Amino acid sequence: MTDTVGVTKRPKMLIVDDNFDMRDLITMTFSSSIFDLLEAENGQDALKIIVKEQPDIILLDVMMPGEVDGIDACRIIKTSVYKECCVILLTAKGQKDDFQKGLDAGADAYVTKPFSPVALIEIVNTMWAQKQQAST
Amino acid sequence: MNNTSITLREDAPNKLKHYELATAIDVKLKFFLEQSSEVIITVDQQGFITFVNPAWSLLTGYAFNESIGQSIRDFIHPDDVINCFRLFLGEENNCFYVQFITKQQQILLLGASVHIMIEDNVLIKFSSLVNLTGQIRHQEALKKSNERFHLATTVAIDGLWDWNAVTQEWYLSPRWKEMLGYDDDELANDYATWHERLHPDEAASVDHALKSVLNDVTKEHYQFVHRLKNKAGAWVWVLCHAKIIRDQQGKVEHMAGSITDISLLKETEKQLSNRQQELDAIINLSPDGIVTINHGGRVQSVNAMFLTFTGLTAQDVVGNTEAQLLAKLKAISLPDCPAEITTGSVFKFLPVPISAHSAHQPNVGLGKNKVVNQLSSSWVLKVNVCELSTDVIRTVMYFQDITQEIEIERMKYEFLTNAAHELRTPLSSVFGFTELLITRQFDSKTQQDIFVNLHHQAQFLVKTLNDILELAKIEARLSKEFHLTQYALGAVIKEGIALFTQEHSDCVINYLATADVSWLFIDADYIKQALFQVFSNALKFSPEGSIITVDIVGRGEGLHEQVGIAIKDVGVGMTQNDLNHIFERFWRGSNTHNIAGIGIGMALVHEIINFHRGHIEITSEPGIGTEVVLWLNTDAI
Repeated sequence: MTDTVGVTKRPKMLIVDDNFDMRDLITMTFSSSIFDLLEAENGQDALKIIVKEQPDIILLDVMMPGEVDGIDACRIIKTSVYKECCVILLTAKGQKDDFQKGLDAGADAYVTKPFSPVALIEIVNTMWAQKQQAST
Repeated sequence: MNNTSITLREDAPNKLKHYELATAIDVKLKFFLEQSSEVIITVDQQGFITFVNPAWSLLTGYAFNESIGQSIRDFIHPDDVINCFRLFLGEENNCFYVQFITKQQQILLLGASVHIMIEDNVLIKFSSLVNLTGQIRHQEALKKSNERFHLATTVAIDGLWDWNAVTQEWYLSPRWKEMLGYDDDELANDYATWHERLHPDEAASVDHALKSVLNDVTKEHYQFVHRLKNKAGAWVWVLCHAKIIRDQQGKVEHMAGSITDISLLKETEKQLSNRQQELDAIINLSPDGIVTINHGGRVQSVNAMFLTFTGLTAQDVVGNTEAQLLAKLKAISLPDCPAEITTGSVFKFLPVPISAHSAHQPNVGLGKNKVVNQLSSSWVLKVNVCELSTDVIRTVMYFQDITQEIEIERMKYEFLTNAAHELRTPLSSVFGFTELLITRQFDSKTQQDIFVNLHHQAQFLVKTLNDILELAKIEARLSKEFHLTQYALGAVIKEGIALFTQEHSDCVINYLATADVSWLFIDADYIKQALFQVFSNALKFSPEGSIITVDIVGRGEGLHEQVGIAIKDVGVGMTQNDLNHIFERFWRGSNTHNIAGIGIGMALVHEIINFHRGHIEITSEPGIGTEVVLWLNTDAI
């Protein structure tokens, strides 16, 4: 997002995972990126942060405890005013039906664990570039 | 007859020479000759008939003039011609029988006596013939009948007996005696011989049956199956059959019959009966439900297991058509019932209430316990239909309980997916962090943090792997058999506590119960295992140094009496949402951050208690603590 005076505001990335180590890994992966990093450990918290911070990219774990899992959160985001935001689903599940569920919920990409941090950066960068291009 | 004889005499114009001679005899003799029922004939030396009296014509059918002058041999049966001539010729002088052939070509047996008379140098033979046919016939019939009877009594398989009610004479055939191992002369032919050998169990009923048959004038036959003692002292099963002959007043004159040795039949009957019982036992003990269909397409029989499976009674289903049977199964099964009963059809039923299984044995297999498992979703029967080519049964339907198989399949699937998930999370860390280490430069502190994290993840992987192996081991054992024995619950709990504190010396567990009155049918090893899991959860989620308490609690009365093991901690506690998921394998509470474990504990406890037909109650408050009560039924499970 760029403002009118030409000062580039840093884009925001929200990392949602119930596992502390996973959040740590992803944070470290994107520590020297262009993104400001936000964290949430479950679906409900993620939704609150989205409303407050309006992130540009969300890395969303599918299997999370609580009322709202990753698929639910994705569906809510993609049917809300925040649907422009890119959602990348991250999950340990690799089954075909889970992948389909993710796409049906409107996810932009689907990455299975264990994932390569380098490849994840690649995916995020490509996606961000496309988004930039589309908005201009 | 007189007229005939006169006519004959008057109608004989030729060869009257001898007759004229005869007329010279006294009139009395003439009269006698004409009136005699004896046949009197004379023949000449060549055997030509010279005289016949009227009785001859009457018996043979040949008239006087048809006979006179004819050779006697024309009237005699060929077999007797030679003998007869020898007699007529005086070579023999005896009474004998001659077979004459009548005009109607019938054989006439006549007794003959030959007298030789000499008159005018003419040898005349005078024969007095008496018709013996009737008599002979009677004698021959008697002889034949005797022969037949003799044959019957000696050769026949059956023993014969005869009772003359008038003379009170008894006859028991040699075969009758032989059947009991005696020679003919070893047993007297009397009532006692028979009656003394009756089996005491049947003597009274034999007497009664005999009496009622004899007293009932309408009865002509008597039949009874009983035993007779043989010479060796063993019992021979016989079928006694008799015919009763009565006089006109209905009074019994005679009774005769036979006994047939049916020991072999009885033995076969016994074997069949044993076999029947054996088959019944096998069918009723079969773990499969079995339904047989007869050729009319109706249910012929159902076994006990089928009734247990369905909760139906034999009266409900026996005689039903297949369609009616299907309708009854449909009524009790879950909505996705198959449209027909055929091989591969799967029927799902809701579990039968516990009360329907009050007759459970203390030692039960997994299959039976699953039935009453309060949490098992449904009970699954798979059908196998066999068409038979026997006369009795057309079809046999086997209802195989595959609940266990399906449950195991489901558990396996769940286990594998969950295990994969649990292994992937730490592997993702290891994979990701090592890649970052390879591709980026970090300051030494960050590097150190990453290494610590990696080590932590590796540790967690080892623990997870061990837990999975342990769970697999327990599940393998669970799928076998539970050994329920009566134990004092208190002692088992104390052992469980000791087992746990041995491994966790930092843990303090207070056992509060004082009286140990609860003797329950349990598998002590599994109960201890369950306690171990509950203790380790309590310990894991409690602040260091806090105390866990264990108590025995009770509620209900009689059949509904329950005994519970209450384990209380003062740990982090759980929310309602946590409680909803507590029995799901690999599920972990929301406030379990950084506490090692993969969440198999309560799933395991749940399974163990479930096999004991008990249940688990958990009350928890976040920040206050958790109380877990393992409830067990006091009745013999």
